[in-house]
Amino acid sequence: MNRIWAILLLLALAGVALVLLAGRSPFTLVPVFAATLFKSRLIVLDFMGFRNASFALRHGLVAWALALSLAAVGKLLITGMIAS
Amino acid sequence: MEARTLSESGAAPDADAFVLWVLVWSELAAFGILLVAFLVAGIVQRQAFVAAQDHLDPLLAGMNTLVLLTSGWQAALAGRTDASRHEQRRSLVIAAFFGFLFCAIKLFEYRGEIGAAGEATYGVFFELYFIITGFHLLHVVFGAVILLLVAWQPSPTNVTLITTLWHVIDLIWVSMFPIVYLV
Repeated sequence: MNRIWAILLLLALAGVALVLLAGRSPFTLVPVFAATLFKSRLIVLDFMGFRNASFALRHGLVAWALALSLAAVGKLLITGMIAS
Repeated sequence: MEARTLSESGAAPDADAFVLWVLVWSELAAFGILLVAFLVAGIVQRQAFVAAQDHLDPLLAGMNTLVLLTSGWQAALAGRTDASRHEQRRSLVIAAFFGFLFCAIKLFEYRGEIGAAGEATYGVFFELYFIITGFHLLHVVFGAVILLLVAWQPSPTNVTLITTLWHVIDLIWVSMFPIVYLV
């Protein structure tokens, strides 16, 4: 559990540092959303204890995070196209 | 040393599990709709949203991510199958403390943002921002109070119920943070 917590903190710190140092662009935000998905997966599987749970429980909550991340990446693409 | 799920706690009838998951998915649906509305409004009012986001403090919000993840870690420790009653109590109280710390940081953050909120040039950004983050903040306050109440009388079912809800609040913030502050 302690290792999972350390990984989650490192991912959160890396995401914030990346955006603060490199700015908001699709190149920095796509890795941030990938890290968000990985964090969500760790919370669901390890903090909530669903690693051995049914398929629906294991994947339902991560699917919610995945849907939002895809929507956010979609927004990035649309606003990028409008701007160019 | 795995976290205990509701079905494994042995003390939660099916009805409790059902109510819990109705609650969890209601929360996820509500926040999902709000966050999608935020994304769509960000496309429609692109320039206003970009300008308004400059008034946010991603560093403080990032700090709050660490605080909430630490709180979730303590909640997970409280939910372990092999945790003693004393360990459960200690972990729940620490989880609640970090929950309240999250609220304090968030209110401090609001203090710096409230001035810009009234400006019409930012469109609906701050309306949605305060609805989404305020709604989440209320959940954190409520959850932290319940964590303390459960720490006082930690039955297996109650520990599993509140820690599951607490992790959902955590999960919502983890997805909300990049959408509201970074995109």
